[in-house]
Amino acid sequence: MILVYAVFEESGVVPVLAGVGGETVESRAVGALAVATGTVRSAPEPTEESVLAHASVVDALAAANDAVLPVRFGTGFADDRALVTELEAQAERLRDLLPLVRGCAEIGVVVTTRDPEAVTRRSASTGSEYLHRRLAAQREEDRVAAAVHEPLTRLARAAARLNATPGFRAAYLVERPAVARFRDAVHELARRRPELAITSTKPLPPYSFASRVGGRA
Amino acid sequence: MAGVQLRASRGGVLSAGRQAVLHDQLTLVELVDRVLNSGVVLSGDITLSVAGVDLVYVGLRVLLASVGTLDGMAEAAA
Repeated sequence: MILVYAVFEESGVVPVLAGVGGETVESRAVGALAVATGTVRSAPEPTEESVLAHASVVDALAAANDAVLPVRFGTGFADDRALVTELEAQAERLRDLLPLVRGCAEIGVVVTTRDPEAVTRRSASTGSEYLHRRLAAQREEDRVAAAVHEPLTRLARAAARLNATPGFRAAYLVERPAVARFRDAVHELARRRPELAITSTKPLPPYSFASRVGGRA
Repeated sequence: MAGVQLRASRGGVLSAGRQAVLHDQLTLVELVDRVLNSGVVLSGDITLSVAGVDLVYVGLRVLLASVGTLDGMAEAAA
């Protein structure tokens, strides 16, 4: 079974790495693309350890290359032919995504707020009051998103809002030299909005931008 | 690496050490979420079931600070 970790350019570098099953991670060229793969006897158990091992491989690949598209955890092919057929089918889309992520890291931002729906359920005594308060809570969430998401999006090559209940989550694709400036901006937002808990992640490989057409979502 | 700035709702600022711990937790939870739910989707012959891992993720998520947890931690540190 062939596990797939990431897609990059044919000229990309694969450092010496151990994969999810302890196998050596290899590079396989498919046209103008290359993939980092590992050959294992059987599917690894989908455990936290496996997930973090997958993440470690992708981290190392992202550190060694300018443009890497992480592949979702748990993708395996029976043989080379099946892998090549799928990559050839997706080659154009993948080639188009590589320039978007080149030279960038992903930074996640989470804004935690109290659950407005839960607050509304507790405090509303009638249906109309519930709906009114829920609408007000939704407006507040939208206002928070605008206060955080819009200024941060201006500092990013691309941005994507992610699901979050309650609160706000988003991913920003930031050019590596601008990462410190971006995080300074997050700190400044946190300073200006002390009623919110605004947190950012360390720089991550661009997972959230590896399966979409780039844009300032 | 610079830590994130976290403030409790009563205006207290978490200590640098606690910020660092929460920063690492947040990064871990968000990373696991991305590994499971984002990235290039290839139609492989085998796709591992992630049901068990999802449960791990939920557990991590619970650990992550909500505003209420932050309040509690800030008060405990006070």
